[in-house]
Amino acid sequence: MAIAVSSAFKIKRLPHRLFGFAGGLVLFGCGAAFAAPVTFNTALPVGKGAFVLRNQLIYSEASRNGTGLSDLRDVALLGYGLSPDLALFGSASWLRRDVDTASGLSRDADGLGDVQVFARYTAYRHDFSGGAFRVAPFFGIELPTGENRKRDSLGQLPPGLQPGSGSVDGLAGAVVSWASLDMNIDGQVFWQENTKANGINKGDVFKADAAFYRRVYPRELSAYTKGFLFGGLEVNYRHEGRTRMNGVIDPDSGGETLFLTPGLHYARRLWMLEGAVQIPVAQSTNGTNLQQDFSVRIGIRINL
Amino acid sequence: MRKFGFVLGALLLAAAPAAAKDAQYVLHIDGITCPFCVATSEKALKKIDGVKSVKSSLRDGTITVCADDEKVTFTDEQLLELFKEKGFTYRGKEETGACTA
Repeated sequence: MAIAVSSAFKIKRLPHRLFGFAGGLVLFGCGAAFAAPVTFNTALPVGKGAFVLRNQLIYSEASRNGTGLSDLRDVALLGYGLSPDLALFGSASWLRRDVDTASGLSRDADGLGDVQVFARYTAYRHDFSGGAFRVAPFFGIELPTGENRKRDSLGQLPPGLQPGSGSVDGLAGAVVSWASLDMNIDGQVFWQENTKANGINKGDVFKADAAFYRRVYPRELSAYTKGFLFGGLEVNYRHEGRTRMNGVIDPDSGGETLFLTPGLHYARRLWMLEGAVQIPVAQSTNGTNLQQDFSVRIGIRINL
Repeated sequence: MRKFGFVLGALLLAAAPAAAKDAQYVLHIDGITCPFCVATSEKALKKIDGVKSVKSSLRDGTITVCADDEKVTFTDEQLLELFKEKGFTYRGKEETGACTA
């Protein structure tokens, strides 16, 4: 009986602890036809009528006080150039989450996640010999396509384990990119306005990101160089507001994290491979909310 | 027989000016920064009837096009529009005679 009470207590607490970690799908790089950051957007263009496909496999872990959560997701993003300045994107994901609590309770869920659709408009462009500079705001929505009422033998899974949020959320931001043959510099601000679903209103998310990549191979360009290897560092700041459950603020939700993210990408004419490891260097999560341990991303982009 | 050979030779000579000639154009493009970026422009150029080969030089910011000059006449307006649609800026072209590759 004591075990049952303990488990029930943990199950009740679980949703609160998971919000910070599972704070929505990441609007990762708007796969343009350029070298770009691994963890976020770029302002560089998708040609009119061109399709770009980007797929990333992302594995993350978070923990606190003996409770651990792992999150594996595959995110596919398709971009289409509607005009030279306007590109449309849609991303879909499949994900699996596993949690192990300090009391020995294990629960998991998998399935399709929420779909994001967004548009990016190039507000400013300046091309120069061997380089480009772009400023592009973007906006979109996250649709509740992922299942958000999954159950296991213990009952309905907590919201933080559900593949979907159940809510229609707004996304907006802007990205700035400066690219040359030798290096790329990108910066982004991002806002996600989360709405209420199933009595739960997750905290809004603000992100600020910067990336610096330098060509490491080949050192010298020949007239017909076939491939580039870029190496660099990204900095990702993420702030998530507190969650409200039936109007009551959850003290164990939200917080902020700063990541340093070394990354690599290798670009050929028709495809590009990319990888990065996100390492949290500063974290302040509220109450007993989980803290991120690391996140690893590998992916491919293809010019269709 | 000799007469037939003469007639054939004359016909070939007469036809020679009408035979297809290849011309090479070097297009100067701003904004291309990696191999992945330039692929869509190469693809668009290759779709033009008469274009035989396309090669990009990222180092020089150029795309070299070999085309049948009977079928292809590039204009600055056409190229400006083509590269604008692909997200780049066309700066100009040079016709460099016969194709070298």
